[in-house]
Parts: sequence; C-alpha cells; structure tokens
Amino acid sequence: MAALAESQIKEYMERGAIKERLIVTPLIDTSESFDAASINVRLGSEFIIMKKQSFPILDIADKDILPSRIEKYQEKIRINYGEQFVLHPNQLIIGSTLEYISLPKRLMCYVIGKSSWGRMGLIIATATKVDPGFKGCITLEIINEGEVPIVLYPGIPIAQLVFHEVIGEAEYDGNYSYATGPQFPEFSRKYEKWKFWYKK
Amino acid sequence: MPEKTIMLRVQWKHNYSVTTTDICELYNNFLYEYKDDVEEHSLEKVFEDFNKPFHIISFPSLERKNILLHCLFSHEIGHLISNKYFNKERRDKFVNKISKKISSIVQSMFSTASGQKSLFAQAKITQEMERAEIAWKRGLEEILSDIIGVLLFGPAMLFSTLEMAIQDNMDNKPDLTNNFYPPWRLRLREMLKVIQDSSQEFFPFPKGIFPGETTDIINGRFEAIKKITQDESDREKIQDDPILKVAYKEVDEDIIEAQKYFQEQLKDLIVKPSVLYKRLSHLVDRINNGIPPNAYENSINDRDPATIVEIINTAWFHKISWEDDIFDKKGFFNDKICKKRDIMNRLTLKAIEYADLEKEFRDYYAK
Repeated sequence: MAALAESQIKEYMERGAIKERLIVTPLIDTSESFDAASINVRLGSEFIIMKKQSFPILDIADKDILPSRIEKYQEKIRINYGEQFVLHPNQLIIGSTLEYISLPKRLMCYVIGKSSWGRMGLIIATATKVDPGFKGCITLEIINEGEVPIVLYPGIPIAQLVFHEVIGEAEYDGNYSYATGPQFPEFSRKYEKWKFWYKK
Repeated sequence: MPEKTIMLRVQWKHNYSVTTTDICELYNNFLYEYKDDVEEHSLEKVFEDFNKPFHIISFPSLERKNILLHCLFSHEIGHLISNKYFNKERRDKFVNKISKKISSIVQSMFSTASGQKSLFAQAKITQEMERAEIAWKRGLEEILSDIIGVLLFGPAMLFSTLEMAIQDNMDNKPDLTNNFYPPWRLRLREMLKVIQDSSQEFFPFPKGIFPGETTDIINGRFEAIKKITQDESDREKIQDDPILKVAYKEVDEDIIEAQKYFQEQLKDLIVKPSVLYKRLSHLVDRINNGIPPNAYENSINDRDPATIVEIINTAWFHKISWEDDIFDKKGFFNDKICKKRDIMNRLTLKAIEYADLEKEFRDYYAK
C-alpha cells in the first residue's frame, strides 16, 4: 500500500467538496507543515496525566469500579502555549494533536513520531492507525523512554501523518469522533462484547 | 479591550455580571494607606504586573459549556464602555428635567389620599427622586450595554439574550428586588431596533448561505423575536407606575443620543451584515460537517482565520437550524440532538482557540 506524496496530500486538501477534502486545521505555518510524504502535526495543550493511587490494579473486567478508578487515576490538565511540561523518564501522558483532522472516506493515515524526538527517547503514539472518515484531534500516548526528563511545549511539531488511500469507502463511527482534546478510554462500553473472555 | 485586564470566573448565580469598579485602583488606595509602614518600592512591586484597570466578569456555572451564550460577555464589556457615558453633567440634566414632574406626582398622591398636602410629602419626593434616578440609570446602563453587545456581535447577541430571557418573566417591573433591571421584552425590543437599523439589514437572512428550509427556520426565529417585542405588556407595567413612566420617558430619549455616541466611538468594531455574511457559507459548511469553523481555507495558500464574531454567529445559525428538535414527540430530550449540541459547543470553543492562536502567531512573526 503506497503512501501519498506531498503533491497528492495537497491535492486532497484542495478538493472542492468538503466531504471529499482532507482537512488538517489550523495550518499555522505551511512552510513547516509538509515533508516528502507526510504532514507534520503539533502537540496540543490538553493532557491527561496519571496519578499514583492506592488502588492496586486497573482491571477492565471490573465494569462497576473501572470508570471511577480511571477517573481517579487520570486527571485532565491544560498547559498554556508558551509554558512547559516536564515529562520524566518512564512517565506516560495522554496528549493530542493541536490540529483537528477530517479524513475523507477514501483516506486513512498512520501517526508516526518524528525521528528527532525519537532520538531523545520520546515515543508519541502506540495506537497509530486513524480510520477513513475520522474527524477530531488525534489522541497521542506519549512516553519518555529516555534517561533524562524532557521538556515539552504545546504547539511544537511532534508527530507526522502518513496517508494511504483505501480500496472502497469506509467511515469511522467510533466513540472518539469530534474529539477536541485527548480522550479517556471507555472500556465499560465493551463489557457485554468482551465478558466471555473475562470468565468472572 | 487592550487598556483593561479582564478576568473571567464562574458563579453559582444564574446571571452574567461585571465589577465595573477598577479593582486595581481599589487595592491601590487600600494598600497605600499603609505606605508609612512599608517601603515604597515594595508597594510598587506589588502593582508591577497589576498596572491596568482590572475587572472581573462572572458567568453562570450552569452555562459554562454553553459557549454560544457567552457572547453575553459583550454585554458586560458594554457596561465597562458605557460607564463613561454616566457623567455628572448627564445626571444633573436628568435630575433638573424630572424634579418638577416627580414633585407634582407625589403632591397629587398625597392630596388625593388625605385631601390636603402632607407633612411627609417632601420626604416622599426625595425618596421617589432617588427611585426615578436609579430606574433611569439602571435602565439605561442595561439597554446601552445590550446595544453595544449588538453593535459588536450582531445577531448572535440578540439570540443569546433571548435564551436568557425565556428563562425568566419577560415583563418584570424594574424595582429594588430585581436591581432595577429593565424588562427583557423592552431590552429585546431595543436590540431589535439596532438589528433592523436601515443601514444594517441583518434580516431577512439572505438566501444561498444555508439550504432553503434552514434559511426559513432562521428567519422564523427572527420573526418570533419580532412578535415578542410587538407585545407591549412590559410598557404597560411601566406606564402604570407614574415614577417609572417619567424615568423611562427619559431613558427612551437618552437611548437615541447614546446610540449615536457609541456608534461613533465603536465605528471600527461594529459588525456589518455585508461583512459578516460575505464568508459565512464557508464556515457554516464546516460546522455542518463536524469541522471547527476557525478559518476560511479555500486552499493551502488561501486561508485566513475567522473572527470570534464570525465564529459565534456561524454557530448560532447552525444551532437554530436544528434546535427545534431538541425534544421528541413525548416531550423528552432527544439524545441525538443533545449530542449534536455538545459537539457544536466543543467545535465552537476549539474554533475560537485556533483562530486566536493563529492570529497571535501571525502577529508575532509580523513584528
């Protein structure tokens, strides 16, 4: 499956009908936005951080307790543009792209880290596939795998999107549509479908 | 308002309000009473970052996610702008103009009651003069702030005010218990006059921006507001009270003069339909398709961030086009529409953040 080159990405971004158009907004600095076969995206200003709690585990089979535990475990914060967030070694935070993405039905993309950040030990996404028809800010799972704390600034280019055309048409209809920041996971919605596997 | 610092805070009370007193000056006066006890440079250090007039605008906690309603901030900003209109000269003019009328009303009340002039008439005259002055000042303050809000935000301000008004009695008589607020119906009527001003012509909403049926729904909302204001029940209540009748006659006269004054003061900021509607269809198309209406993006190199006025008006027109379906046939909330409303609020807020950030970025590198 071939990736779209810069010229093809731009062609998708200039299509007339809004439903057929690839939208990555805001394109704050176009001179920094495009690579040979990708679009660079920036770090958003909202984060979900993990708090150390007294409860022992997060078990997705505990449908009654899990939502409240996740809420206790995770806290939403906002860092203003121009301010910094220090990410310590082995710390996981959930962030999102600053940009809001709208993919047409014929296009999907992968979120990939920037090599310059990778060399500092920063992993920016573990679940990297974005389905055709998705609309929203893309949630990033950011981990510092390095040896020293890393300072992050909202607004800096942090990841890149690599696009592929899909055969046929498909449209994302998941829980994270129209997200304007990082999202909490919602395992409890899956309980009925997955309970066979829990064997509780 | 670049010459002021404004802090926003939530409040439990279901109301928007502003501290018109400059808090910076207040603290300054308070702390300088202790200037003999502390070194002067320490006091100066306290006010180093506190060097502009400082005001607090409060908004209802219940509505914190109702982004569209927050264009009522412009009404509160209107209070800060209209403040300078109430000088001593205007107050004296008002007092001189009404004192004879109030005096004769009170005298006639007493002679009717007892058949002769009461010893208490003079005290009552003073009391009613004060009531008339408060009613005049508060009435004018609120209506002028509404007018400034409409001048700055256009139809969005009218729709937001209606949303607050329908939760209350439209014809509350101004008195001490309601802090002399003018009736909502009267406020809507005055705002409508600005919207319908011959040089403005926001309505009927032009065809071609929305699909035909949606244009009819939006024009229908406008007609509904018009119908509300054609009912004169608020006026009747004011006319029934002779003191309020005198005060509001002056309010009516002063509004005309004040409106001209503020139109001149704010001329570069006044929203005009020819400008607002020019690029609206693009923004409307975006929000209808679940994309924040933050910018005009015809192509990668032909893009321009939208203004907050354009964003809020886009969201209001979008909301009005489906809002009537918020309840299902049984009178329960329609979950789909509630979800749509939630998405709309989030997209609108995001659009404001994006447009602001982009403008700041451009300004930074333009220097």
